[in-house]
Order: sequence, then C-alpha cells, then structure tokens
Amino acid sequence: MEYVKVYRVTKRYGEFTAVDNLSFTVNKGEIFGFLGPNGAGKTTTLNVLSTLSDFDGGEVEIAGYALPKQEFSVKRILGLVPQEIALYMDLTAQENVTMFASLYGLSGAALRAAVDEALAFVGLADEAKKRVKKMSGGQQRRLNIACGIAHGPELIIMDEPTVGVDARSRELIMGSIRTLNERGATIIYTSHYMPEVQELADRIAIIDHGRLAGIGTEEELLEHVTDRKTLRIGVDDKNAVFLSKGVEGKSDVILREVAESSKNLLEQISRLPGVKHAAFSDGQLRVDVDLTLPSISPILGVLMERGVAVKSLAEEAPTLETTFLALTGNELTKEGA
Amino acid sequence: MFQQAKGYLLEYFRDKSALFFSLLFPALLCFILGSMLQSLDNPDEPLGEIRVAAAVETEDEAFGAGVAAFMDGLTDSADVVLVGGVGQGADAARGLVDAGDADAALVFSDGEIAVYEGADYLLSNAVRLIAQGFARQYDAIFVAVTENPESYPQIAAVQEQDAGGFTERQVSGVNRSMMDFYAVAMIVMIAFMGNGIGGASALYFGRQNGTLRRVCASPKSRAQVFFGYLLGGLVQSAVQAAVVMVCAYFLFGASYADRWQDNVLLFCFFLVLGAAISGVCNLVGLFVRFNPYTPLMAVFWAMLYMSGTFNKDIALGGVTLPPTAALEAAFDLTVFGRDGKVLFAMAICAVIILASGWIGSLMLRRKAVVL
Repeated sequence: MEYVKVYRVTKRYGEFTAVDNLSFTVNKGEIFGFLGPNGAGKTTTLNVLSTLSDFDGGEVEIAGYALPKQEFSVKRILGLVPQEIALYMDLTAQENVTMFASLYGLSGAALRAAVDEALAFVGLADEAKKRVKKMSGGQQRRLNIACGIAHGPELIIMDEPTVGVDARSRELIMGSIRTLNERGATIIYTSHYMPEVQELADRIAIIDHGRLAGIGTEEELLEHVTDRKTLRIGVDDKNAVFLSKGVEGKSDVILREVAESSKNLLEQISRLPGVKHAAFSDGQLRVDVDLTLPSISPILGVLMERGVAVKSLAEEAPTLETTFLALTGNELTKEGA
Repeated sequence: MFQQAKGYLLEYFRDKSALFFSLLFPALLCFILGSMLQSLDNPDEPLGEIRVAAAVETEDEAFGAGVAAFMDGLTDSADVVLVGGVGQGADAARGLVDAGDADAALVFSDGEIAVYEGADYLLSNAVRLIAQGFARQYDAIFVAVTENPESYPQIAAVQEQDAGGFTERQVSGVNRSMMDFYAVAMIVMIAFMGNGIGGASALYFGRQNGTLRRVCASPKSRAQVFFGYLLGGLVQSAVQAAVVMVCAYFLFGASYADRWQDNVLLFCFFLVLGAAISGVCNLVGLFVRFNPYTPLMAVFWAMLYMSGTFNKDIALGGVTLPPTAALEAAFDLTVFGRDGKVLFAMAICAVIILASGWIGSLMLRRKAVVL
C-alpha cells in the first residue's frame, strides 16, 4: 500500500532548483532509505514531507492527505527527527520530551506514560532528570529521537539521526528504528552512512542534484550496475590510512602533503583507460573498472612506480556504494563512508 | 501553547548568564548608578514663584516663636511670596487659595499645622514638603487638605469634605526617597532587558537549533506557536515584576504607589509592558540572521540611559523613547496616583502585543523563516 506519494515535486530557491521533478512512493510499514550527497536535495524533500516547506510544483500525498491543503492532518500523524539536535539545552530530558509530546495533544497520565515510554525506548530512562547540556552527544541524539516519537506517530521522518555518535549509540539508535518499524511505523530515513541504510532500509532512493537517480531494494539497485566491477587492492601505504579517514580541510602541513601525494596517485590511476573511479576506503585502494578492461597491469604499474607495495588483490561484486557512484557519478561522502 | 511557554520560561530562568545580565545586573546597576548619580540630580525646571497664604492661631508661645522663625526663613527665599500677611485668620487664608490668589495656605494652630493645597499640585506639593519639615522639627500634628482631590487619587480614600470646600486628607506618612524612583526605573529597565533579550533570543536560537522547526512541524497553527512564545514573555514579565517589586519593597524600602489598587495596576502595567517588549523582540528574533543579544543590549542601554533611568533624561528633539514613556506613566501613578498615562500605555502595549502576534504569525506562515 502506497503511504507516501511524491509526484513530480519541484522546489526552487530563487534560481536554484533544490528538488527537480522528483517522484517516488513509500509503502506503509517500510523503512525507506534516502541516499544522496550533500546538497542533493534530501533535506529539502524531507522538509516538504514534514510540512515545513512549501513546494513549487507537483503533488504530495501522505496517508491519503494531500499537501499543503491537509497539512494539519499530516502533522498529526508525523514524527520528525531533524538532523540537528533540536532540543532545549537547559531543560531536562523529561521536560524536553514532555514539551514536544504535548504539542500533539497529549496531556495528563497519557502524556506522562508516553514520555516515560519514549525515554525508556531510547535507553534514557535513567537520565530523565538530567539536563540536555550535561548529556553526551550520543545521549542527545537519542533524546532527539525520543522527542520525535513520543506521541506515537505513524510516519517518522529521520534526517541523519546517527550523525556524530559513537558506535554504541549508533547501535542503540539502529535498534530503536527497527523496533519502531516492527511496531508499525513507516520510516523515511536519510544517512550519509551507506552500511546503515543497507542494513535498515527495505527500499532505497538515490537522489542527486534534486533528481531521482535510482529507487528500489538493494538488489534492484545493484542491477543498475552492469558495466563495471570493483577491484580492492590492499596497499602498504600509510597514506591510504590517512586518506580513507579523510584529510580534506586538515591544517597539518605533513598531513596535507601526504594527502596531496595520495590524491595525485588516485588521479593518476583514474586517468588510466578503463578506470572509472579510484578511491581509498578502509585502508584499501578501491578501483572501479570497466567489465571489458583487458588487464589490471597498468594500475599495478602506477602503484609500483610510486613505490606502493601491493599486499592483496580482490575483485568485488558491485555494492550499493558502486551503484551510488554509477548512478550519480559521485561518492556519497568525501570520506568514502 | 502553555507547555511551549513553560519550556521557554524554564530555558530562560535556568540560563545563568541570561538571568544575570537581564535581571540581576540591571537591578544592581540601577541602584548603584542611581546612588552615585543622585547628587547630580537637579530639578528639570524651576517652580517659579510660590504664593503662600498663612494664618497663625496659637496660644503656645514656643510653638508661636517657632512658627515666626519658620515664616521668616520661608519668606527669605526669593521664590516664596507671602500673600495677605500672617495676621489673617484661617478662613481668610483659605479664601485666598479658593480665589486662586495663593497656591497654598498654611494654618498654624496649637501644635498643629494644616496645609490647604490649591489646584496646582506641583506648587502645593512644594509648600506641603516645606511644612512637613517644620512639623517634624516641632513634632507638630500635620494635616494636609486639598481642594483638588482628583489630582491625588492615591489619598482620596481617606478624604473628608469640610465646610470650606476643601477636602481634608491624612498624610499617609509615605516619605518619598530616591529608592522609590529607582525601584520603578529598575522594573522598566528589567522589562526591556529581560523581555527584550529573552524574547529575541528565544526565537533566534529556536531557529538556529531547530526547536522552532520541530514546534512548527507539530499540529499547532503558526499563530499558536508565536503566541506560545508571547505567553512565555508575559509570564516572564510577571515573574520579574513580582520578584523585583517584592524584593525592592522588603529589602530597600521602596514604597511604590500609596494605594494597593494602584500597585496592582502598576504590576499589570509592568506585565503588559514586558509582554509588548517580548512581542516586538520575538519578531526581531524571527527576522535577524545574527545573535541579537549584543546589538539589542546596546540599543536598550542607550535608550534607557537617554530615558533617565540612571539620572536625567536626555532631550531628543521632542522624540519620546519607549522607556521614557513607560517611566513617565509609572511615576505618574506611583508619585501622583494618576492612572491615565498608565492606562493609555497599557492600551498601547495591548495593541503592540496583538500586532506583533499577527505579524509573527504571518512571518511563520512564510515557511522559509523556520528553515
């Protein structure tokens, strides 16, 4: 059953078109992953769906209610978990959840029960009386979720809910999203972190420059990639570690030199015939090449020429990451996450 | 809306720096600067000539001698003119006031001094204050009567009509001190600082940290959202005014108005004044793209300084700044017991509150504001 219908939606900011003729549907009860690089139009689309933003063209329908006409009907069934920590820092966890849940008409015992349940749900029951500013980043993220779900919404929109959290909090958040879904909530979820989306989402939409680049299950998306394969080359190069962790914008002079050197290496490999893309990821060199590439010798030649020792070599089946790259021409993040 | 207002208030009153700079610091500064600068205080304009009619009807020699010395001293002043001499009777002296030939009449009888005040309250007040000094010195019973009770509604409750058309009143014993003026000025100042900065910051930081977005995503109308913040401002001003009025009364002996009804009105005035300032500054917070704290602080300090909060107001070519108007209205109520200016100011504040609510709701409906 199609629960969210987005049909040829366009949103412009002056001359800039943030969302361009975008169409997709989300089924009731599914976790819908929304992938795209920065500036792709993900947040603008979510703002339209969460009634925070008007749109210039197209149609949006949620649970049978058309936007913007039936905005208030949509708001009542909607839970929003924004990308930023949208909390009152001087209020306690409990006061924050109470405040936001009460906006949905909850009061008295029902409100108290909903607040307690939401806090317990995100593992913050023991921190209920703690002021937000004294909480860790991970706890604040979880509280951010609690504030968006306490009123029991049917549709939950989560905009990068795991940004900047530690592994434990990430795991807790992922678990809570799964549980919410099992309880019947439809979830639209964006993330820069591809493994997260792969793990959670029933279906995924890839958006780039405000347009839909691809949509479907992970398997369906992988079918888009028929023209390339990925080589994973284990290299003995400390530069690889630096680059795979991300050095863009770092001020350290040595690190910048290392980054520059690695960047040159990647550019050199990328220019080779048959190579579509090269990047460092998880300490490995990942090279997307044409299926028709006759030999990988030129790639190995460049590495040897630069004095980089090759430790291992493996051919990898297409992943969501290569699919993303194939569909958008860009990596999801600079870090190659 | 109430939960939203509650959230706003908790956030505001738990922020120590906001509390210090908008509540405690202005209060301290007002008292400290007020005390430092009071020696520089001069009247805004001279009263000019004061015509006094006097009648001495006493058998007590010592008191009579005191009265004579007092009258000599009084008439030595170039500004005081004795009308009709001291030998006339009380009726004649009162008659001169009735006829408008004297601004006030002093009637000295055994151990008692009565002041019959004329229509000009400033001149009458001057005579009364002089006479009060004499009464204290000689431990005399002091009675003040006025023929224009409407100009003193704060003491009208204890008035008594006498045969001569004058209205006798018991002087309440309120001795005005500079503290009375500072206490009122302080609340006006805190209303501007606290409500202004609090109101602007709430909306500005709400936009910055996403809480406003979250509130706007809820099934509340934009008007409800904006009035939620305004309600927070209203309660904030109530808390501020109550705390400062009570503290100034008990700690510093500030007396405010003479009648409790006027003090209730004064409290209500501070309440709507704070809410109006909140409303306007909520709009500022909704509009600006930078932290409004510092610029607003500078604007308020300048306005308050020029409005005479610390000493004398600075004339700005006929322009009445909002704090000046608020102070004038409050002083008119507390010192003279007249509620006209306060009621007018409250009406203006109510219009400002409604207008800001309407504009704020419209601004919030332009959805880009919250994104």
